[in-house]
Amino acid sequence: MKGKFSKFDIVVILAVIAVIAVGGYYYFGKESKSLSHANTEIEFDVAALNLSLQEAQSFKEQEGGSVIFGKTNMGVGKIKSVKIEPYSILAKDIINGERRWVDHPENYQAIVTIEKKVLETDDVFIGDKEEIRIGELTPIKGKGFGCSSCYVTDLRVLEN
Amino acid sequence: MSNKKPFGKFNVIDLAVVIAILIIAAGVYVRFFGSPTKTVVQSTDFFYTFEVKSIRESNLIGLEKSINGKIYLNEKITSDMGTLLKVESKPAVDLLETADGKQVLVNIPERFDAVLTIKLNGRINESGFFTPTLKHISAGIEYNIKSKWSAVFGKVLRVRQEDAA
Repeated sequence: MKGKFSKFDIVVILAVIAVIAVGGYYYFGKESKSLSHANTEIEFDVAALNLSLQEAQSFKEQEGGSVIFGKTNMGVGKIKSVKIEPYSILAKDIINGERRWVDHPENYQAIVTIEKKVLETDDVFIGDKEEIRIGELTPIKGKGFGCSSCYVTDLRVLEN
Repeated sequence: MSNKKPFGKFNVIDLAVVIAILIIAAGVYVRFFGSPTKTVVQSTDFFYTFEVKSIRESNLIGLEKSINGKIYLNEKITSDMGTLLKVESKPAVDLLETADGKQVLVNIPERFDAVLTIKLNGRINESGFFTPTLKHISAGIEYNIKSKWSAVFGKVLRVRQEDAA
């Protein structure tokens, strides 16, 4: 009869679900998401390098405002502070055989400190589905400023 | 006389679905249980060292905080890369050619090189060492990896079945 599942159809459906479940487990299911702290408050620094003065000022003007961070456009945090300093370049001193950090003659770097309540597991800090960790490429953007090749340079858990 | 089949009517669509399931099942088997060669694959512990170069102190501290935590491949589709056992670090160095033409190793201020020792329950056969999702773990192969606190890029230095530490 049309519109009804036969036993065979049910067996087929169960088999399809089993295959997808097994495949999904082996492909995606290895990362533990065990919960340790549901609401951990963190702050993390994102470095925007090699900025012109105007670009650096655009970052500075946004202190206290909100920022979208990460690759998914879903992470939203609050800018706690923006530190503007001369852009550091790793220079070669071939006379004395040294490498040292020197200031760029014109350009600046902005260290943007972002506050965020995140989900902390044994493996990761997640803010609005965006993983946050030191060394991770983390684009940021907000009202009149942005940086597509920024990296997280530090991460601190705030005491409650 | 009743002409019933055990599972009702068996039409062309059912047949197509059965074939599709068999193909998917075969694909899953080959992907996850088949090895690159036709030898028997055993799931076992092994150890590898992973070198990262010229990282910030904060990133090094993040790695040290991640000791005994899990390491994952840091790509769109992630996978288990083992458990971080040890982090050995030293000031980062770089090769510099001086004005008199000599090649000298010099320190990079505020940066560190580190060697991570990682334990992985993976697969071993005569072709090599593999992660559970068959990423090849061999000296010289480069990966982006991540721990809870840090993300780093580096390369595998050495693989052993016994823990050298």
